[in-house]
Amino acid sequence: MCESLFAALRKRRIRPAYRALFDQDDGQIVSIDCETTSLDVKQAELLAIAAVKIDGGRIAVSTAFQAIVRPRSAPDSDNVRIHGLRPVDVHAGAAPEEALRVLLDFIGGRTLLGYYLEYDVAVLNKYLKPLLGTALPNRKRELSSRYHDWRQRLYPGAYIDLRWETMIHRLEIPALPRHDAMNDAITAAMMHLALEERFRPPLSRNK
Amino acid sequence: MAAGRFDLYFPPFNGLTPAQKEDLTEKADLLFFGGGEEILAPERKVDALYLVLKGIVGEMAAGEVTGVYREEDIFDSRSLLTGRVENRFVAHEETLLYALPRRAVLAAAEDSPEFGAYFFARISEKPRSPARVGGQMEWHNILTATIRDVGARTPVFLDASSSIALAARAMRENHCRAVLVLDGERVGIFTMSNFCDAIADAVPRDSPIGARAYYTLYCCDEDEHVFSALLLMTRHNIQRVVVTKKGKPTGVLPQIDLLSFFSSHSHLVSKQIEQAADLDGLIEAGGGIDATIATLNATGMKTPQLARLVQALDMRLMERLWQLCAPPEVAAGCTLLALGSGGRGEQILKTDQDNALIFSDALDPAAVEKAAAAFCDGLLKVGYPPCGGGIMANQPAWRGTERDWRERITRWAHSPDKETWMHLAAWLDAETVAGGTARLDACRQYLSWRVRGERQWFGWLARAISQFDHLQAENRFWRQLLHRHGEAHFDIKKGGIFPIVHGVRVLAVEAGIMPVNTFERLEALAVAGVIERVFADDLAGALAFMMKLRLDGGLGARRWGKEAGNIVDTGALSSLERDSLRESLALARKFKTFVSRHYQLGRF
Repeated sequence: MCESLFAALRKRRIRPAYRALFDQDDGQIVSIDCETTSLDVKQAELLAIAAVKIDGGRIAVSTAFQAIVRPRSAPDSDNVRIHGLRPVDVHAGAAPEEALRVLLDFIGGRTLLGYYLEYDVAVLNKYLKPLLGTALPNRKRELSSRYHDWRQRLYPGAYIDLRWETMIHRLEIPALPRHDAMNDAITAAMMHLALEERFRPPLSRNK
Repeated sequence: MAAGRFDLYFPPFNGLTPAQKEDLTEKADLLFFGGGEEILAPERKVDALYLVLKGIVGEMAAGEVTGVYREEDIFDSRSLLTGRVENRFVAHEETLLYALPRRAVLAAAEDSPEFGAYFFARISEKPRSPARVGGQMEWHNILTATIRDVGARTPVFLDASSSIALAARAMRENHCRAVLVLDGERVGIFTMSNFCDAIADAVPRDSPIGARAYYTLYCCDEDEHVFSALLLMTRHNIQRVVVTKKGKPTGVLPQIDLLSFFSSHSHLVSKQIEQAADLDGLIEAGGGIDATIATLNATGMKTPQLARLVQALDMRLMERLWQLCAPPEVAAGCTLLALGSGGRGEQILKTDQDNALIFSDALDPAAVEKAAAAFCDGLLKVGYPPCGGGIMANQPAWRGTERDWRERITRWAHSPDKETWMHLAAWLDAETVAGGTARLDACRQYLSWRVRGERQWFGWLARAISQFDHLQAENRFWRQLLHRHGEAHFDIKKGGIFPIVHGVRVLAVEAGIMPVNTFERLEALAVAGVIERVFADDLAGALAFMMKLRLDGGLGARRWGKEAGNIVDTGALSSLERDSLRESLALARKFKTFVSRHYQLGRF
């Protein structure tokens, strides 16, 4: 209730040209992941964005959004080792503004899902604020906090390891090669569905 | 979506190129189901083929589990053509599926015949699953065999001054197609092709071979691997290599010997059997049969053919053993029979000995008994376990004069009871091992005369086909499979092989078909129009596949020092094999219904 009120307030601040976009919400969730040049939001520049829709139990990989973005400064060598995107790869990418316009179209007003989503959204907002006039108004669902709730319920008071690999392992999800934006977005979607399954009351299963 | 996100390295995808895989997965979505959720309902339209990435899916028909799909399994390939599923598919536990669009799968099937064959070939045409880990081990043995293991032929040496006519005579006398030519320090070779050239060029028959021989020899040391000899022959397109020892030519290895070594060690085994002077020699040869089976199975020989080859060796071994056990006058008056699977040529690993004797009235029964006892005991030592049902020539009931047998046959034909059908079934598959076929033929003619047109009698015999509750056992089996950690064992003989073999046996005997091998009977039944051609071929394919499974299982058990049996552990099966097993069992079930209708078994 409170969240939707904030969202409504934020929506009013969106430039009119984009306002209609955020009215589109069909209840689907968009799992999103970005690869960037740095882990510091202030310095970080976008390199790749991937987003995939979750429609009920379906992860719509076939219609996923994926873009390689041309950064203003070259990715530093430490980071290349993480995401495997070399300067030559990103040089062929799209200008950030173009990629983001398509992305906005893709996500519409749907809820966003991600692992440490706050960071990804913060980087996206750096680019989007000049465009929209405000931050992304979408509802956000943090995978790690949902996971935390589940483990907490199973083992009250215990230390909960929120590392990506640990979560994959505990949720028994097939592991995909990491640090590929698309793979990470798909994996997050798989984890989300596996998690929700664990929160589902047993009776509703025999539908 | 990029290819390789989920690595499709397993069959049937492993034959596709990366580009084909990408086309296939480009429009594929992931589907997640909680335990108990329904994935597909009967009669619903389906636009995708589902690959299980994680979890277990059960296929249900009328409330019973009829199939189970696990990681790397695909369902429902039947829906590819029709676009509809017949049964219900339910996630047994949390399940993640890769939904490959039907249209993309069909396109890939068109591009890659191998991939298409997986979905569209009837089971009799399905590509064979490649030899598995165990098989590679046997291959390894072949790969490391040396030329000495194959054995080169002793060469014929001729002096360079010998005439062409002399060389021709030497070749004919020694049954060889090449002679080595000694020309001082040089060694050359004079082969059939030199001979052709000489004739073509009208060279006089008394001119010396030295002038026409080749002096560039392709040699292999006897300690080199057989594969180097094969490579040499292939590379230079030659029919033979000269085998050397410390640089000196000591033999000739023709390509034909090499190939027969690869295709089988069998001729070596049969030579060994013929040359065996006593029981010990035969025991050694018997071990050779086992090695041959493992090797040939690993090289991908088809199971029915392998079974026939093993039968030929087994028969020769039994014949030789009989020669060793029976004094000549006894042997002359006896016909030794192999019964049951041994007679049909469908026993591969030695599971039991089923044999019988028909002997002439003129013989002393005590002498026959003594020879029979020695024979069965000898077989046991060679490695043929005794028959559980006592179907052995050392038992009085399985030995007798022609008149004794006629009495037994009359009894079987007129007072059928629950015990005798097994004896009769074994008898119906009899094949002569030694002593000529006349006595067996006479007994058979007598039997067919007694039962001709007795439809009820055949019905009684056929009834054994339903002695084992097929469906119930199968259901239990698929249900076991649902439990990931439990082992799923299935008696493939009772559940799949027996119904086909027995049904075919009864139909064939009724139709007066003489061969006893099930594949030959099926062929004859198809020709006679008793069973539809397509159905007969499918049954043959199903039977061959199940025999192969049993053989693989038996060889695996042996490797662990266990006894070979009829139990298949599906945990060890690949998804391709499980798929074929599912289809084979369905065919066996369909055939049971066919036989029941044919004999109107429902009325009993």
